[in-house]
Amino acid sequence: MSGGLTRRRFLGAGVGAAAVAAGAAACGGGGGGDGASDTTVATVPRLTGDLAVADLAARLENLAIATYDGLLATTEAGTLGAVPAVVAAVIATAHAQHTEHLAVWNGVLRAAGQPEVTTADAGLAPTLDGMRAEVTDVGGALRLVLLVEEILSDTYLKAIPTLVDKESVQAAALILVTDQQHQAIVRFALGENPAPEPLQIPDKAAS
Amino acid sequence: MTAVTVDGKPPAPDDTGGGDDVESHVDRRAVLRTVSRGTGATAVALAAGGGLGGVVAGLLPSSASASASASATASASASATAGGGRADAALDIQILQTAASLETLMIDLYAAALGSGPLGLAAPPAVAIAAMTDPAARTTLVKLLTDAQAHHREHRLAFQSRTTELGGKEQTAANPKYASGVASADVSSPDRMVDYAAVLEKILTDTYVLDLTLVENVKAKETLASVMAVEAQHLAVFRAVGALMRDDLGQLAKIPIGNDLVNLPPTLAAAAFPKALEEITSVAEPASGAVP
Repeated sequence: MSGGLTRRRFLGAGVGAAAVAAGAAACGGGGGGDGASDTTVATVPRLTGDLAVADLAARLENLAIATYDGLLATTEAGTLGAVPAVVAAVIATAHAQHTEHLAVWNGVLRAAGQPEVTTADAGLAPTLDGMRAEVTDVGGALRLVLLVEEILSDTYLKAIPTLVDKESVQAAALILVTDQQHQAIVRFALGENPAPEPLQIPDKAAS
Repeated sequence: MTAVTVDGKPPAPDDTGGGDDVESHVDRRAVLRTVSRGTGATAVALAAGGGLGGVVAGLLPSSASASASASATASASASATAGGGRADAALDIQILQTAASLETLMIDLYAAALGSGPLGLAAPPAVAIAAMTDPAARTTLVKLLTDAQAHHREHRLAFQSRTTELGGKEQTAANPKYASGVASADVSSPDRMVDYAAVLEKILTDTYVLDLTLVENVKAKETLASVMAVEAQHLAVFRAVGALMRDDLGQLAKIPIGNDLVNLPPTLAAAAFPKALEEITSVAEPASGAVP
């Protein structure tokens, strides 16, 4: 593929990085190599290229799963009042699909010798947790779901042109398709145009 | 209601007609080989996903995974390399021209449904839509088709612009592989029209997913991804509307849904996004809409 980086060389680089990073995980790193001690940071390369995208994607998929877990718990508790069946189904189905998406990226990380990502993106989680705590009705829940789907979609949209491995491209593209579908139906449930823009711009991409 | 295929005939379970049913992992080098030879032959050789890619392939749905041997890639690589940058650009141009041809196909289909095609308001889908008895559902369907058509016009412009930037000719015609099937398709009722729209939006979505693994030019990648994302929304919407019509709930296919939100069936979610990872079932191969 592009840049003259063959898949074999790419895999080799990933494995090499993983070997160095192994010690960092024990020091509280992992999920991208951030957060290790000062001493360790100097020897642990940050994830780059496709692996960095996989790491970010896994953190965001965990974010979606955690957010939807919270929303589903709220709906089951009756806090939002009567929740239309289709709304509960949309959230539950999207939750299940994000779990599958997470498995894709964790599979990539695991195969490259990296630790699986089991926690939500630390930068965005507090904000979304706060927003979820303020949801008081079905409309608010749908708005939060839409925001999550937009963040994930835009992140994949921005990442796809940067990916080297074509099967990572395909995985990101297929996941983007599903996340766009989630958005369309959420907008429909909100009473809005389900496909409002002719071209998708990644203005909510995480990094 | 009977499902329709791209050629207007009832489909086999895995047949959307018209396109090449392929394993989704098409090897760029094998396609490049035919481009550099200047042939119009379809090249959809499969390549095994080694290394990291192989891991991803193992996690993707079976129909979206690589399955052939790595030797296919190895045997193709030498001749692809010989093609150099010109072959890269040539394949990118073919992909963009074919994408533009697919967009024209959609513009034409929706023109027929909206009564602005060659048959005007006498076109069967336009007649059928005009006869819809629920005004909110009719207005919504017209709005969805109108918006989708406008989107496809912008997509075509974007693909044409990318094509000329790479030194290629603009493709202005509809994809010849599908055009006759679309022209003769039975879309004489609203539900058949909606199902047919979903079939074609799926072909565009699948094609662009695959194209993203083949194209080299970064701007072309950005455009393909951006357009693919919107086609995925169209696909979900038409699937949802089609599902409501199949359940005799077509009156609920309206925007805004309002208080009828509570009446939407929970099955709508699975109808609109049935899989975590869509299976790629039919694609327009890069040469199919290329300018000769």
